[in-house]
Amino acid sequence: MNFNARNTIFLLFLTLFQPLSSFAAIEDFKVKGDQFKIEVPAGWQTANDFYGIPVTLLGPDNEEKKRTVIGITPVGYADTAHAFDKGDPDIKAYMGGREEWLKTFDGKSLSYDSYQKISWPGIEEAHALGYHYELPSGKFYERSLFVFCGGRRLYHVKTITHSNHEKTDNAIVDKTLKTLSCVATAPENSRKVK
Amino acid sequence: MKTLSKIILTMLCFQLTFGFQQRAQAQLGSITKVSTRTYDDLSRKTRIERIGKEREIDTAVEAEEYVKSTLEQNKLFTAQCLNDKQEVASDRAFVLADNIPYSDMQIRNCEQEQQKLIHMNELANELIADYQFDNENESCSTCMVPGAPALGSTPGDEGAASCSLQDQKKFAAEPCNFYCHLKPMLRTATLGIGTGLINLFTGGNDGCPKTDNGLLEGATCAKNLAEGLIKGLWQGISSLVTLAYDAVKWVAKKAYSGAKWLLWDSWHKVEDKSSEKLQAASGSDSQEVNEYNKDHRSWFKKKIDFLLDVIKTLTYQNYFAEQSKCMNCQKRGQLMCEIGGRVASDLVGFTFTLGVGAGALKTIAGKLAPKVAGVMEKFALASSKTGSIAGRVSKVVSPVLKPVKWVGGLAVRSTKAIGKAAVQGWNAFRSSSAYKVIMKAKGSRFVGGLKELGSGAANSIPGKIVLAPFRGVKKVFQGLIKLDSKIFAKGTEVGMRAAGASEISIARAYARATRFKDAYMTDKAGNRVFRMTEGATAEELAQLERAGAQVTPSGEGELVVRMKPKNFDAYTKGKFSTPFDARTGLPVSKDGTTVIEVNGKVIEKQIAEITPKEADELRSKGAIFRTKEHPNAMTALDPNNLGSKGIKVGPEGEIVIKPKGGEPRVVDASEMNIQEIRKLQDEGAVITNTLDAEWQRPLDKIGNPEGSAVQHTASSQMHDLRMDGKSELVNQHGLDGVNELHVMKEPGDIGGTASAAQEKIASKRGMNRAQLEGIESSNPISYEVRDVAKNSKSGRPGGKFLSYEHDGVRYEIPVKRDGQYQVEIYQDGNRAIVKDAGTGKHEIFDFTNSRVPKGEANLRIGKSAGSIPKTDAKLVDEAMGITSNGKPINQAAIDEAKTNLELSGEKGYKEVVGPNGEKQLVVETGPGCKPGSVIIGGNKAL
Repeated sequence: MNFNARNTIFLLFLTLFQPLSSFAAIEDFKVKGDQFKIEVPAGWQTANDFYGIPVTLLGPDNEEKKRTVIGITPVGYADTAHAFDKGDPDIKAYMGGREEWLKTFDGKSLSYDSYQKISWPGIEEAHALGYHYELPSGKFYERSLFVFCGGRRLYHVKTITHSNHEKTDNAIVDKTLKTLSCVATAPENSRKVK
Repeated sequence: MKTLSKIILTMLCFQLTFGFQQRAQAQLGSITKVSTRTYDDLSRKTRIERIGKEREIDTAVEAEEYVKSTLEQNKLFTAQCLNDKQEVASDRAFVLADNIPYSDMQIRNCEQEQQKLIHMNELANELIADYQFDNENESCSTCMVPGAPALGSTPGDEGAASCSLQDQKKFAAEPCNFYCHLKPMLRTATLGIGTGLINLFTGGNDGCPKTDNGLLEGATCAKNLAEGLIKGLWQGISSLVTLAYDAVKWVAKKAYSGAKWLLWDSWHKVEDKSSEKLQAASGSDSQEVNEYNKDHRSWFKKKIDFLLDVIKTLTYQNYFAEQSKCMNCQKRGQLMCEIGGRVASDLVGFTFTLGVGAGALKTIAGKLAPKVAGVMEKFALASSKTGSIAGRVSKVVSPVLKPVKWVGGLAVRSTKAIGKAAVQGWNAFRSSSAYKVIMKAKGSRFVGGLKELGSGAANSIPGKIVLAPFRGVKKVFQGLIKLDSKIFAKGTEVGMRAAGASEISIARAYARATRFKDAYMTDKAGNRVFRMTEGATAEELAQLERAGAQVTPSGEGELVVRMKPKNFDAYTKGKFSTPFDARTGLPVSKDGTTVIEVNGKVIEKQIAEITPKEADELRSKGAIFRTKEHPNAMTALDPNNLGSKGIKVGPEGEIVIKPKGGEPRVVDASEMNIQEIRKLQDEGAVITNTLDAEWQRPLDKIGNPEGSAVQHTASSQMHDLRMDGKSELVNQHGLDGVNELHVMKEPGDIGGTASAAQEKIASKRGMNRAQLEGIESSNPISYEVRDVAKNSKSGRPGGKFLSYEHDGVRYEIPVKRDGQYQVEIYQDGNRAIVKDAGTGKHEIFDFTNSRVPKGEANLRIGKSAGSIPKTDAKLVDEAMGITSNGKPINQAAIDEAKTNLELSGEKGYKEVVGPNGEKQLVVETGPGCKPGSVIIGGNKAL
């Protein structure tokens, strides 16, 4: 058996048993009175308050040294989500802000996603904005999601993916986001939705 | 508020670090002269030269000698301390030479030796760098002359007047410059975000050469050195460090603002910040995240490491700016690269010592990083503007001109004299794996000082200590031992070095630790030698002559003074002692004033006019306090107000802790609170400061200061001495807290020989006549016993009083009790009341620091005046227990009376001392009271 053949068998072996050895885990996170769950993909790391992000999920290391990251910030109770009620947020304002930011870092936008209103089990509604941009350090895809859950509890979720990993990681990010659900707690001073 | 204070302190200390250098230098200079011309009057250049000269007397070595010795010591270390895995064996001892057994001083733990070597290696690196620079720029006339312009007219000239942005862009295309030098630093400092955020700001290319020709393409290190790299990088770092702290706050505040959330004006900031945070997080590899999860605090500290590297860059900015004056634009660009590679382990240690916390980090980032960015940008743009740069950062950075470099107590000079062989040898060693192994621990904080093995100290070193078999090291390097001893003979600077102290800090420590040593050296005949300027007055010369000094001109505008040790001790005793006011903690001139410099203004005030609160306020404003006798930097850096607790803080804000039976060490007073000090005192430590010459005397065999007339003894022997009818005073208080016998001179026998009784006792303790003579000459105070009548008003008992004169003031101390001389303790066992026979004023001897048994004879006489607190009226009143109309006459009572008077419209009154030493408030002018009426404090109550 030559090397390539042995290698192929080995890879096949790994592929077959991969589901047994790597699996996602649902983790609970508590942030300042808020509590939510999310499934952390296999091989991903989590950190609390890393660079000030309340909860961070970090993808595997990669050659570009630009890991895929999901940042989750529980904002609190939002009783006026009407900014999205019409289904038409001020996308131009969003774009204007991003362009300004990109200028700061000698970057440029490549394309903007259309606004999306989505939902999944446990999440009443989520509003997503996103865009592709280029910095001197590379091309990235970034999304901002405003996720409402459990009586207008708002989570600001941001994701970032290096362009080299979009094909593989965007799907994982999507799948992961859709495991996000909030645990029924009532933070102090919370206000009910009308 | 505490955090805020720390932040301010941190910032302040950073700025003061350089001030310390100047002040330390000023101190050094001031000691060696007695002329009226102050050290500060001299030009900087003169001062620096002079420091070099003064220290060259016997402490300086040539740079080449230093480099070679360091190299040899590295070799010894490699042979003894590195195991087969090329790791430093923690349980192994390092022996400086191979003829075991050696004296204890030559044996250390390998880890400790490593810390020492790191510092030595860093200095060697600097010396080599200076050597190379000096040799490259010998013809540059304006180099290293602050403020002088660069001379080159074109970017290609040596000493180019400026480098335009265009030029810099050109040079930015040179094979990696700044970032590649910065990159290892990022890694070693574990910035973590190195490959993340740095890429964000510097370009996707990591900035290092990837092509064969070494040239970078497109956006290389940055678009240009000034705008893209420097500015962008520092701003990036600034925002990076800042952004780690503000997330939750701004999200809560900005994102959700009632019914109007998602106002885009606000939300943009949220988006911006979160994008930057995610970029930073994205650049963190698994290892860093693991480190973060394991220990957040440690992770943040690593961030500080990096920031301090930046600060270090700032500190060397002027030095580099000077260097750049002798460079063309290309070299200047390369120099910029090297700057990034300079790591700030010294400031790391320094700042950590101050307890930099999260809040401080944010403040440093917010305030310093933009400043760094500005300075670096300016520098990159045109080093011909160094003058303006220097002006801009003058409060932070002093021009770095170093005719002499310092390590520990050793001056290293003449960097140009390093031979090529030594340079090559050093460079070869630098590229060796051993060097990397040794320097790997750079920046790690070494806790505990560099203790020598032996004499019980080995117990303090964790782990089993074994002596490794020597591998190929056969030669004994006597010179090396000498060098090592010079550098590490003192424990003080070792402690600072171990904490990663900077050269400046060490120089400062040196200035403290060798305050007197620095002023004199010992010649072969054993004489103390020091220099003074030729401006000495006739009176000063006469004083020296009386003290047995031999004064000769040096031929260099100075006088060389030689004195026998005992004469020197007598001459210097008390000369540098400065009393501190116990109430305010401020230094006091002999005339009762203190000189305050605050916000550039100099005010002279009577110490009695300053309240403790005012003193604290002045301190908080950064005031400098001086005395007339000590005009140079008589700084009361006493943030913990130790002075009010009887702990006299020295002129550099230091205190000296002499542990029981141990070597004294110098620490910042700001690092010690009174509880810690009291604990040390309970353990037998003596707390003093560098103005007190006592602590730095060499120790005798039993651990007491040599020649201080201190001998251990049993109380029965003390009794013998008391009863011999000739000796007049004994003292149970010793520097190490053990009962000791202080043999004092006989009444009227000043300067005479030792009495038979003294010799008798002394012989029991192994002292000879010569030692006793030394004892006598070191205690030039005469004593006599007077009978004092009982004072029925004050309640003070009559009886025998010990009377003596010091610094022109006569003191009387009640000493008679039960047939033995003892100090009467009035109030609490820690304080004795004495009376100044000249003024009739009562004063307190505070024995709180003496750790003497309550009620025992505990007078410490013969020490410097600094050990005698000035009068604290309140304490005196309290201690004396004087009453009037059943009311204690203390400051509170006086104040109350004053208030009542003022409320009633009475203004014409004054405080006076009554016939019994008590305080009185007396009416001067009326109108409501008859002038002369004693309002409170006497028998004539209002």
